[in-house]
Amino acid sequence: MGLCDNPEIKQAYEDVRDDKSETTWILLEYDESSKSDVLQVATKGSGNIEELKTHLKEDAAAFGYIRVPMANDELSQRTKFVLISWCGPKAKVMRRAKLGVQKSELKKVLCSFSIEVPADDVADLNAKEILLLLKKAGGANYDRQNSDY
Amino acid sequence: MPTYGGDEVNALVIDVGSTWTRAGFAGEDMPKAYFPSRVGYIESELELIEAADDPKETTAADIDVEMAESGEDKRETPVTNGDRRKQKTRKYFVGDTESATWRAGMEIGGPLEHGLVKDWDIYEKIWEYAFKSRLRVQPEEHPVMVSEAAWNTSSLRTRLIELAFEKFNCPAFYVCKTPVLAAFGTGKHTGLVVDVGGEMASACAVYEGFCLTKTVCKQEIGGELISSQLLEQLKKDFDYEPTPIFDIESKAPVDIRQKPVVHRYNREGTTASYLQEMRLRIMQEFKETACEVIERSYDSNNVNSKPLKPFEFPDGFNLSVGAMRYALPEILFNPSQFMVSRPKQLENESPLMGIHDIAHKSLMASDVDLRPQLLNNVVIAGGSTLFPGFNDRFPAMLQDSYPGSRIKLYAPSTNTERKVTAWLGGSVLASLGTFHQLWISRAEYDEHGASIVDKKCQ
Repeated sequence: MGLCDNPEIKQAYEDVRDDKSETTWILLEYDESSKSDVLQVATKGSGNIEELKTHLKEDAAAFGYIRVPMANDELSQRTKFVLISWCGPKAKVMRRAKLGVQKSELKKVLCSFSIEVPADDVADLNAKEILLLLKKAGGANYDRQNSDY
Repeated sequence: MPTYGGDEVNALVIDVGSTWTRAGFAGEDMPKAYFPSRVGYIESELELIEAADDPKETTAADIDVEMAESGEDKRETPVTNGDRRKQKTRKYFVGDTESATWRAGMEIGGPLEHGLVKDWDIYEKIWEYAFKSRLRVQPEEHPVMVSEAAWNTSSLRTRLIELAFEKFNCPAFYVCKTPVLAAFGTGKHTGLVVDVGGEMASACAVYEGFCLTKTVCKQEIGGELISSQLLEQLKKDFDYEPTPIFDIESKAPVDIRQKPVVHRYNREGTTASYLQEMRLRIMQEFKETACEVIERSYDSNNVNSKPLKPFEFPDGFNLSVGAMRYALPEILFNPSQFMVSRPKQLENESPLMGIHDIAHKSLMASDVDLRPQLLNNVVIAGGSTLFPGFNDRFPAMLQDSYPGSRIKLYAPSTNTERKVTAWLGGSVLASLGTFHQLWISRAEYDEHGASIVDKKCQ
């Protein structure tokens, strides 16, 4: 079984992307019972990044995919998607080292996202900072003279 | 015929450094074999009478043969002396305890110089010891992954692949540059790898798993330099030379900073290189327990207000170490100012760079668009970066050169991992399923010759 062969992963991914669904984020974790590395859908939720953060474990690596609504002003509402690659500070060495390579395989399934946020500390996953990263990745800022980013 | 598939291949990963060698199985967290690269050897002359069919050993040294795991190596240096020809042979003693045991006439030598393989006999003996004595494997049954310096030359690489296939009969082989392995060891594809080891400090940009050779920047400063400078400082400040453990017959406790009261064996036949190496090993312990890197910058007021650390040497001499323990690691950042005496190898180099200068030079050599990404992914590797305070000081000094950018340091989480980062990367790489098509197999070597190493191992 390859890393992301589990059909649930693709389904969960589509679920987040679906505008009609309540799900706003999913968390993929490694299946501990399997000998080789296999990802499975650990949790889903309909909250924001703060909710996702509570499920991240210190001694494991995980991938999160979350929907972030963004608005430049009240009239234009957009939805962006963020891929989070989490590696807990107490995660095992081999897990951390393999992450880099396995991430690229994962991206073939979770293929559409605006930005990728690598994190090894929950403080890195700050909603404001992520919004700022999204804004910077979002194209030209015609409001540059008045904004502080 | 073994078939390679999936993650079941147990490849061997060996990383020979100037000071320490790491060897183990791919897929594991830690190298099973971790021993000094400095080996002991005793040179003796075999007198060959007439036709060299019957070499008669006429060695004067009393060699302790039973305990040691050694290998005889015939060196072809015949000295014609009428009818008799003499051949120099060396008996090697590899490993932590074997090289530390006192033997009359035993010298200490290392395999690398300036990071590149210089003494192939010693290098081969290290491989042999690692595979046969420590890992207890037959190298003919396992693919071997080896590390090389980022500035390795083509001729050395071909010699390396010949060693693997001809001498050790490996079924498959791969050689990878240390910065790439160090980056993989911390889980990164791209980053600026700063490696401060025993002999060399180097910085190199790695992009998408490839080492950008134009950005390789190195200097011969490292842990060994700090240890030897510590020795000089002790001599200068206290007129003291540490007595190595092998030489101590008995000792008595003394007060702080008093001359040691120690009875020495003073054995005849102790070579200078052995004595120096044993002294350096004591300084290694001193360095690891007492030395630290000061946070912002070295300032005598700042340093004198720091607490002292007591340290006792094996021969009883003890002191409360003060400024010295902050001053000597400063060599890493400001070599010219903090070195007590300039060693031979650095005589011609000027100006001497600190590690942050090396990193800066490496960045300047890399593509302008790449620099923010590299600065955001600085990987620290090498045992000489384990000084407390280094992780804060180094990025601060780098930030001075790049005030606007965001610098993020990545270092393995535990101290033991940082010493073996490159080995870890090799372990990860060699255990990946997708890596298997990249190995150079015996068949390919036989067909294309040694030059295939340049084509396949980028």
